[in-house]
Amino acid sequence: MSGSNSSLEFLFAGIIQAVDLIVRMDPYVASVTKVQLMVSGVAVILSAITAIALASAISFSEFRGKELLRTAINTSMGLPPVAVGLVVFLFLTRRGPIGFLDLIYTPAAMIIAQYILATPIITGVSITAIESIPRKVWDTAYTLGGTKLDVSLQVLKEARLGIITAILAGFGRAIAEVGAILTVGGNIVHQLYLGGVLQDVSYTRTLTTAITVETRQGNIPEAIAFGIILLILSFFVNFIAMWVRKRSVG
Amino acid sequence: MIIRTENLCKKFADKQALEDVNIEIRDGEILAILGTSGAGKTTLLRILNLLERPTSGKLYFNGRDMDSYPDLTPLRRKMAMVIQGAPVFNMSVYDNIAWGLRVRGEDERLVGQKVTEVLSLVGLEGYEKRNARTLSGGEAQRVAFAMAAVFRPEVLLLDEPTANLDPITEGAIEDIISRINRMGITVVIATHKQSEAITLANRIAVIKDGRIVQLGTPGEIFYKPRTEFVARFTGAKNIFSGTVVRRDRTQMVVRSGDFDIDIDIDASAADVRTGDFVSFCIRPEEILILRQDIPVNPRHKNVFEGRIKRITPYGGALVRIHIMAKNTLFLADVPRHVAEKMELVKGKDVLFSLKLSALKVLETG
Repeated sequence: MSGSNSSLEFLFAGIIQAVDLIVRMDPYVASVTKVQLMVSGVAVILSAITAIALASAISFSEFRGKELLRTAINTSMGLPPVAVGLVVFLFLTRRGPIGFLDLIYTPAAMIIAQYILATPIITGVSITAIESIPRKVWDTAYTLGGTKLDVSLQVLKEARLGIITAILAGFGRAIAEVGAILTVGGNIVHQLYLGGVLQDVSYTRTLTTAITVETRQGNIPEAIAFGIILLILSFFVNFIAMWVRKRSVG
Repeated sequence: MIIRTENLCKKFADKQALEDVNIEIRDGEILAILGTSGAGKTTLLRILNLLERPTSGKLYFNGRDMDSYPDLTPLRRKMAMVIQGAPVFNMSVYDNIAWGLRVRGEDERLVGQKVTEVLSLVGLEGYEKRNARTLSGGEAQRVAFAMAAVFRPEVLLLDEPTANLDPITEGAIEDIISRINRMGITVVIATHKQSEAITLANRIAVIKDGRIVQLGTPGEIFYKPRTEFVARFTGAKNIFSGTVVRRDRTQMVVRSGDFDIDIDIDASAADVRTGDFVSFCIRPEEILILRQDIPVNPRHKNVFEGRIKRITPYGGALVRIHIMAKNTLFLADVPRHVAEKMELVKGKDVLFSLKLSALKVLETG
């Protein structure tokens, strides 16, 4: 009886402290959140640009190896993050082919890894969105005097909600992922004097990697705080995705 | 713009969609391409619109071979097609209609003016800001017309423009088509509705299995069908066959069942000989039910006696009288008020006549 009571108290106390950390914007918690948003945000923006270009090329033009590329994209949609992390690590590590760039254990390395993870998803879902636009819409644009470019731009416009959903799916994958960024980012914090106090500040530590390390070290309030922020983020992304889907139906 | 096709063929993987189509679309006319679904109407429109390339054959625009154009875009921009089902873009009505002008690089101030003009042409004033996807079928069809008419193409191709519309909207759309044509735009309509073809078209091309089987004015198509298919498709209804028992220079007598029927000979029946087996037809509105109170002139030919088996409403203002005479069924269309005045009811014995000049000998096929 007392055991379950104290375990509830332990959970409760953890949550209260976590909320406190979030509300008073603890510098450590804030820095971890910032790194997460920066890494995943930049990665997804770069992925989106690449993916829309790739999806357009595949949907609007004919070229050799197109089907192969399509298969490669579909296969890559489910790449295991840890494996991607390993490959990026092997390339970036000091002794690797592009080790001289000195990117290993930097946010840039994490961006590269998440870029590789998000691009196939955004591309694949975007292609589906583009190809779900009825042929009649393409034909209408063409018969109204549109050039190939005019037709393609109009079809992209028609598919915009699907493409936004694709980008959100990519972002969802990026913020949920641990394996790749842990491998190439190293989960590093720096200790800095902030206002005269020695303070942990994230360099390559994100919400997901922070949860693994804090849990292991028994820093439950921190772990819960990161969990709450992560859940809010992914809830927010899903909420937008749902809203977009509703609009596209109506 | 005059468009002419020469032995146009289109073959899809498993189907010959068009075969040896030779047709000329005249400047300023309304041409209807009339046929059942799957006859090749849409394929023909798509080829004329350069959406599809023919497998073989030639296509001339104002006498110039399509293959001699280095870039087809300027040519395509003289035409527009309203695709069946009126797909509109997921944006405002204004932006939908402005689309064709904008890709042509039209000055944005003129765009507004032209969109407003065309909205009043199709009767959608005040709809500018509505999203086109939220419109009803009839409204979307009007927007589709406006999208195509706004840049004043020389030729407008319409694929089943009134399919799936209610009769009132259908009438409104037909009215819009006439107005667009009066602006000097040549119109080609693919349709399966004979009523639409006869209401709108200057000429009708009947298409069957990818071939044009008859091309002519509505009068020619409906009253002088060349083949049994055209006769059936245009609603000739009374189609019979029999042996020619007698003929002279202007008339022949065909024995069909228990009837000897006199038929005027026109150009198409010129080489029919005595003893030939022929098919012939007469439209239901060409069968006259005679008034009982006036004695029949004995020299009158093709007057027969029969009994009314059934009366069915037909198109509101008409009734269709089913007359059984010596085991042969004749259908006659009569205005409803005439039928009431003549007290035509089921079971009544009537005299009816087949106009000699309205009987048409058909080619087999």
